[in-house]
Amino acid sequence: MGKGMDKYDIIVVGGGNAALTAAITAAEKGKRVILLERAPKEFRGGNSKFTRSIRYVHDTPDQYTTKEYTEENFLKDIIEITGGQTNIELSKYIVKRSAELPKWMEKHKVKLKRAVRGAFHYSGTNAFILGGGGQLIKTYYEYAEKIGVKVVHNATVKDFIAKDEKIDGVVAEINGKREIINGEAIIVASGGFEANLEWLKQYLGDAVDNIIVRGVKYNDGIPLRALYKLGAAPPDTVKNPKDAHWTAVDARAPKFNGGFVTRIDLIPIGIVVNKKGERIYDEGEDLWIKRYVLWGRLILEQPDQIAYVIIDSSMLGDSLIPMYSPIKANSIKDLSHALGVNEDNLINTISRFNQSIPKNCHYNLSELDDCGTINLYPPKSHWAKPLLHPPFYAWPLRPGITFTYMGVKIGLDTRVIKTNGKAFDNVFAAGELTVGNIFGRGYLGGTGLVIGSITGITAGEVASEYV
Amino acid sequence: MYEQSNEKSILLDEAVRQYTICNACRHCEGFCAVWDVISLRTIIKEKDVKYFAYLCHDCRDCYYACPYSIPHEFSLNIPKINSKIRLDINKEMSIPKFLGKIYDKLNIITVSISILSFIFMITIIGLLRGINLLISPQPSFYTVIPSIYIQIGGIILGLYALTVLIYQGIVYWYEIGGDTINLLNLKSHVITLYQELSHKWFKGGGVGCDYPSYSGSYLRLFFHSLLVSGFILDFLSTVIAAFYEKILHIMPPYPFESPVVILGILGGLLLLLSSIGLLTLKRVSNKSLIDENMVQIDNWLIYLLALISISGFLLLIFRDTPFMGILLILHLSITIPLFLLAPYSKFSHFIYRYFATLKYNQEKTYFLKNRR
Repeated sequence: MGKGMDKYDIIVVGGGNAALTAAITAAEKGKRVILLERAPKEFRGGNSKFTRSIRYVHDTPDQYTTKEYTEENFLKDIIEITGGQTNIELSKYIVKRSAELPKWMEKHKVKLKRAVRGAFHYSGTNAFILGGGGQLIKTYYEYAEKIGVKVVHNATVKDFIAKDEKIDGVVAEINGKREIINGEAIIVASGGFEANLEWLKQYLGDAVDNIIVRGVKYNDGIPLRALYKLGAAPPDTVKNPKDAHWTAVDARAPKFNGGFVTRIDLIPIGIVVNKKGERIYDEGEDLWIKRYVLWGRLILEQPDQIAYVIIDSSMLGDSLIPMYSPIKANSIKDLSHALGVNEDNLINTISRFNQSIPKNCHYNLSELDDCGTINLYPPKSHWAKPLLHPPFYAWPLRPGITFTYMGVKIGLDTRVIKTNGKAFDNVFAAGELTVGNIFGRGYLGGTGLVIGSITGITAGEVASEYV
Repeated sequence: MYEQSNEKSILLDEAVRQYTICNACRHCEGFCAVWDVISLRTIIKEKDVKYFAYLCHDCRDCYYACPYSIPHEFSLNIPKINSKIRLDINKEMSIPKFLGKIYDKLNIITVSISILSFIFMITIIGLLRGINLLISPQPSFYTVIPSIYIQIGGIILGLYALTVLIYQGIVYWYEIGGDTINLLNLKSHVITLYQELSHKWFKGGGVGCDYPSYSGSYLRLFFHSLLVSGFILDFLSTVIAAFYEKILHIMPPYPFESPVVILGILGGLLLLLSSIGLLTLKRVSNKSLIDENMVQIDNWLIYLLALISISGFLLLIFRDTPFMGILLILHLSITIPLFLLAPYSKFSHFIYRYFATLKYNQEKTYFLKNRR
């Protein structure tokens, strides 16, 4: 980094997809851009590494998708999943511009896969990245550096230097040394605070000890906190700070940075019980891709924040086997002991579940089938199949947080808005910091990258016009 | 013996561990054939990882795209574990099996064979036809060694190498779960041959390979294609030479403008150029992604092909001088270990890759046919 007091047109705080799209956009407009990535090079890219697809508008099936996905449908999906907790103007803007994203990505050397292959059913809404988010990050870094973006790793932004509605620069710790970097505009794309357990504890209490942070351990929200200190407002769409991108992950996953491979996708196939041996929610409510983000939040509300998904041997080949081996037992009784779940309740729960399944239904995992339980609470609306054939298999589940929704409120131009209603002149936000504006709660697979890219590109454009 | 098999199962267990994580992820689908066939499996078994090891063409995109690669605590290093298993397969598939030990001493055995061949030929020629033959100008190679010996020797060596290689390949085919019906499926063979000759798996699915390092590149595709072309051209040159002599009764030496010499020179140049290219790439490549012993075994083939082409050029340049005899024997002495050791060296890689790819094409066809 050399000595402090370097002067840049635009300072980008963060090093994931949103930061990179912002930096590339601004550099392409001829601006001098510095990108400050908190992580060392090996772990750079934040949670974007763990992504795989983009959900985007296409009026006809294109080379990447099997069906059309219109603006109306995308918007409808957002409103439905959030129960209306969304900034509708911003949602419309993101949805509209999502249509141009595949072209933008391919122009910047990211390759999207043709059509849909493999085991994932995304109903034609999403395009998949060749090599996933890891390849995306790698490609963007290479591109950004080629066009002159100054990339700095191991750079933690601790604070902002503010004057009135403006920020003049950032205070960063780079390789352990304090540096001041000045810029005409600041784009903050530093992610949520999901890795800051103390901060989370304010909302989760002791449950914080039982959660797993799927995301990178570098997202501890220091820049977000500094923005709040300067008067930035959280998105008013986020009503509960506990709301975040939560999924069910294996309880044996590492505390941080396990990403998506620790997730358990078996829930629609089997049943989920808590420690008391009781089922907690409809496992077959809808297609998994629309429900996977529900389950982490549900388990968060269970005693000791633990649950177990149970299947029998006849279901073993029905889905991918997770990376962690199951706990195996030859009877429900033995299984209850192995799991430490109440024995009588578990036996009772499973026998009532088995009895409530219609005899002549047509079990089919690739559609919303007619195997729904009858007179059972909670119901299992689809894919109910009796657990009869030993051995039985169980995986322990914990709530896994990917990123927090409580970030900053932004306008359509991605300028950060203050609690007094005014926007900063030269402070922009992008990526996970802004997702709460779209998803006050709930989530749709493949939107993280889209929100990150569109806010990133917009921030890059508007900031470039400003300086 | 017991210890060795234990070590091997540790290696395979580790590969199963890594690929099980891959199978829970599948982000690499599209880079190469390995990720396509992983998507067709719910559980990864030991025979699968032996199959994946040679289906892998060491492109390395997966390593650099992977958020779980070392230093992540899941410690994935798919290119390296594949290269370790490849070395294991090479040794295990060697027929007879004890010749698999050659891999441990490949360089010294190669040099020994060359020196022995050299001494043997000099001695025989000296004893039978007089040493003068080797130190005075000769009108043709065949006055030094009669054509019949070179041709029969060449045919025997070539057939031996090819037979053992194919046999080993078939044993590998059954080892990874292939069956007889698909082994005899001509269409799969045609597709596989086309894919391998066109270097389909050297492209990273369209983003290039991260070889020699972090960034997508087609350099390895380029040089490896040149190497294969050079090898084929030199082989053709030899076949045409035999055709000229036996069928057309045109005796060597052939003029520079004859197809024999043109193809020979072109092939030799390609071999030389590609050897330099591949060695340079290998030198700068990331060594933490390959088994340490495999580096030497890889280099063996490149160096040997380069030496064969250099000695061939020397022979061509000095064919009208008194050095011709010695140079001819030198050229042959370097060529002999290439074929003699073919089944027990890097040379064998193409046959295992071929059968792994054959299995891939069979699985893919089966999958597409059975999908609604």
